[in-house]
Amino acid sequence: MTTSFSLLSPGFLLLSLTAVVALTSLRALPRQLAFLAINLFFLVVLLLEPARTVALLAFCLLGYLLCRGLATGRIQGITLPVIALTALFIYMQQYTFLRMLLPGFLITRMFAVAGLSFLFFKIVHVMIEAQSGTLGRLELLTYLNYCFNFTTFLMGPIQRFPDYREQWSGEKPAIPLTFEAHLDAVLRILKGLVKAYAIAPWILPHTMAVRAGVADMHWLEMMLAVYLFYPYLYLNFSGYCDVAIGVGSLFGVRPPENFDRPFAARNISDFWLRMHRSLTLWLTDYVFNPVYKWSLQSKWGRGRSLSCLNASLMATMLISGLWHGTTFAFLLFGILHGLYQIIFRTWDTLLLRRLGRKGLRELRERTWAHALGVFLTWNAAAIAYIFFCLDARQGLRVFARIFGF
Amino acid sequence: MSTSSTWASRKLSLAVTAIACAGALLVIWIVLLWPLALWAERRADSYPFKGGEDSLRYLLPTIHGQPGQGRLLLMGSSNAGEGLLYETLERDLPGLRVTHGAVSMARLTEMKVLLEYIEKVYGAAALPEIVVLGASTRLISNVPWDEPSRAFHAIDTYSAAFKVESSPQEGSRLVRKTWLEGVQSRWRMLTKQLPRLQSAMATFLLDTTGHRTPYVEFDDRREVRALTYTISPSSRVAPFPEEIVRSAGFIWRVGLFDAVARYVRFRYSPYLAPIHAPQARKEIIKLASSTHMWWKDVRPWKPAGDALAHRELAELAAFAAARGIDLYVINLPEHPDVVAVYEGSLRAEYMAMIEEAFGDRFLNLGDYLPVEQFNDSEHPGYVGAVRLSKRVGEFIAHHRQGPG
Repeated sequence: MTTSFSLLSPGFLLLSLTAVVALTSLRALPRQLAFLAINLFFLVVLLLEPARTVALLAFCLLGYLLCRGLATGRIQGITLPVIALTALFIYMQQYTFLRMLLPGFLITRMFAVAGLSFLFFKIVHVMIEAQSGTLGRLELLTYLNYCFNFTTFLMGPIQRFPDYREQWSGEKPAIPLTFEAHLDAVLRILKGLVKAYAIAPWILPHTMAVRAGVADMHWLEMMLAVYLFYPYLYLNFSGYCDVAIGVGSLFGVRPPENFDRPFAARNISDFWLRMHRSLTLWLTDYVFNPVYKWSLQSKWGRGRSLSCLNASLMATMLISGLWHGTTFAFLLFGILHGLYQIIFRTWDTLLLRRLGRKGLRELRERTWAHALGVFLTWNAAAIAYIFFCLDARQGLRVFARIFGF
Repeated sequence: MSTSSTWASRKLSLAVTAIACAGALLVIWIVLLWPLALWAERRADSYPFKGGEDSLRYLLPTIHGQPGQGRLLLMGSSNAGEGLLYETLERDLPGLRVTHGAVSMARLTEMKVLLEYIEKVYGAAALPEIVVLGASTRLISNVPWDEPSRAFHAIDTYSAAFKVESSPQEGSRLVRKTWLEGVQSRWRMLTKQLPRLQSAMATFLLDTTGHRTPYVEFDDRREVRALTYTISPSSRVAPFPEEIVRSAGFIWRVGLFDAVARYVRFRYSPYLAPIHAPQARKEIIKLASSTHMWWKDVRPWKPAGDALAHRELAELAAFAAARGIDLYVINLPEHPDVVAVYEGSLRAEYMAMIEEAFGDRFLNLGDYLPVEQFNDSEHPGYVGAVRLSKRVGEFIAHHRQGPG
C-alpha cells in the first residue's frame, strides 16, 4: 500500500526542515502554495505511488465539493453525502466483506491508500461542521492543506479544521513565541524518534506482531508476546505523534495531543481518553453523541437510559474497530471494546445506585481500587489488541487459550 | 502587515535557532564518538554492520584502507565468514593481521570488483598481502542469478566515488560516479553511521572494563547464545522457557555486567551463525532437494559450460598475480547430505576448474567436516569452524614456507 517510509529518512527530515523555513518566512498565498507543494511532495515522493495520490486527490476533491454544497445549502441534509463518501471509502479500502458483494473485476486494492482512514474522518468532520453552519468560508487551498498536512496525514492525530485554520492564520499561536517553547518542540521530535526508533524496536521482537505461531507457543511465552504488543504500539504510535506535534509546532500548526499516559488508565473509558485521544473525541462528537441522543428520543429508548448508553457505546466501538482496519479481526476488536464499555458502564451504574455518588467517589479514591482498576484496564486493553495484531482465526485461538476454552 | 512580518521573522529565527541548538549537540556528540569509531574499527575486532549489510564494511577506510602489507583478507560468502575464524587464523599465522571480509550471499563476480574497489579508493598500498577466498559451488556459479548483488548495491548506494556497471560482455566493473551521485551517496552513508558509533562505544566500554576476550574464545558460548535469544527471540534455539532459564543462570553465575559484556562482544563480532538454531538433519535433506531455493540452480550447474565463471576465475587470478597478492582458494566444507544430491560428476568438474585456475594455492576441504560439525546446511558450527580455520592456517603457513 505504501512505499517504505521512515521518520528518520533524509527525505522526511529535509522536508520537515524545508517546511519550518518556508512556512515561517512566507506569507499569504505563497505560504499556502508552498505548504501544498510540501504536502504533495510528501505524498508522491515519500509515501505513495503517483496513481494512488491521484485517487487520494479525487477523494479529497469530492469531499470538498460535498462540503461546499452543504455550506452553501445547495445540498440539503448530511445523511446522503456521508453515506456516499463512506461507501467510496469502504470501496477504496477494499473491506474484506466486499468480496462477498462485488463481482471479481471490481475487487482491486489499487485505490487503497495509507492514511485514508484519517483523511476520511477529517473530511466527514468538515462536512458536518459545514452543514451546521459553524465553519465559515471554506477555501480550497486551506482545505487541501488541512487534508494533506504531511505531519498528521499518515497516523494522525486527527486535528479539527477550526483549530487548524486558527493556527494557520495566526489567530491562535501554535506555541508561545519563546525560545524555550521552540526548543521544547525540537526536544519533542527527538523524544518521538527515541520512542519509535530506539525503544520500540527493542520490544518489537518479543511481541505477537512479529512472532510466528503465537497461538502454539508455551502459554507464558504467548502471554508475554500478547502483553508486550500494547507498550510497543504505544511507543511507536506516540513516538510518531511526538514528531508530528514537534514539527507542526515549529512551522506553526500544532496538532492536538493524542496520548496521556494510557497505562495509568483506571477504566476502559479512561483508557480511550488517554490512548488515541483525538480519535476518541471525534467518535464521541460524531458517533456516540448523535446515536445516544437519537436512542434516548426514540420510542424504544424512553426510560432506558442505561440500555441506550450501552447500545451507543457498542455502535461507537464497532465503528472504531472498522475504522482501524478492513478485516473481520478489527470488527472483533471493536466488539470486544464495546463489551468492555458495556460491562464498565453497567457496573458503574450499579455501584452508583448502591453506594451513591459520594460513596462511589470514596471507593474510587482508595488505593486498592485504583490499582485494581489500572490492572484490569491494562489487561483488557492488551487482550483486545490480539485482534488488532493477528488475523481473526489466530486471534480467536490465542483468545481461547488465554481463557482456557 | 509589519506586525505579521515581525512575527514571521521572530518565529523563523526561534525555530531555526532551536533546531540549530539540537543539531549542534548532535554534531558534537558524533564528533566526540567519531575518533572512537575509527579507533575501534582499526583494531580489527569491531565489526559494525551485520548480516545483509556486511558489505558496507568495504566502504570503511578504517577496515579496508589500512596498509595491506602484513594483512590477510578473508573473502567469500557467509560460509567463509562463519567458518574461517579471523582470530584463530591470526593466532596461527604470527606476523599477519587478519581481516574478516566475507559478505553474505557473495558471488564470484563480486570478488574482483571488491579488490578493485580497495585498490581504486584506498590505493594500491591498501591491497592485502594475502587473500583467502572461501569458495563453494554456489559462489563460483554466481547463483542466485536473479537476485541483485548486495555488495554492488552497497557500492552503488553508499560509495562516494564508484558504482558498478555490469554487462554480459564486459562483466562487472567499477565506474566513477558523477559529482551529484557522489553527494547523494555521501548523504546516504551519513545515515548509516549509527551502527559504527554503537560498535565504537561497545568496544570502548569493553576495553576499559577489561573484557577483551574475543567471542570465539568464550567458554560459555551457549549461554551467550541463550542471552541473545532472550534479547532477540527470533533466534530461539531451545523451547521456551529453557533459554530464559539458561540466561538467568548465566547472569547469576557471572554477574549481570559480565553477561552483558559477553553478549555485546558477540553483537559486534562479525559472526552470525552461532546464534542461529542448529538445523535438523531432515530439514537439511529437504533443503538439498528443494526446488524453491537457489540450491536448485547450483545442483545441475555445469562448470565446463560456464564461460563467465571461467573468465572471472582467470581474471581474479590475473589480478592477484599482477599486484603480488598471494591468493589462496579454499573449497569450503559441504554438508554430506548436500554433497549427496549433486548431479553426476559436476562437483568433481568444479574442483578441477578451480584447481586449474589456482594450482597449488587451492585447497579442497569439501569433505573435511562430518555432519555433526555443521550448524546448518552450509555453515560450520563452532567446533567445525575451529578445525577448519586451523587447517587453513597450516596450509597457508606451509605454502609460504615453501618446499624447504
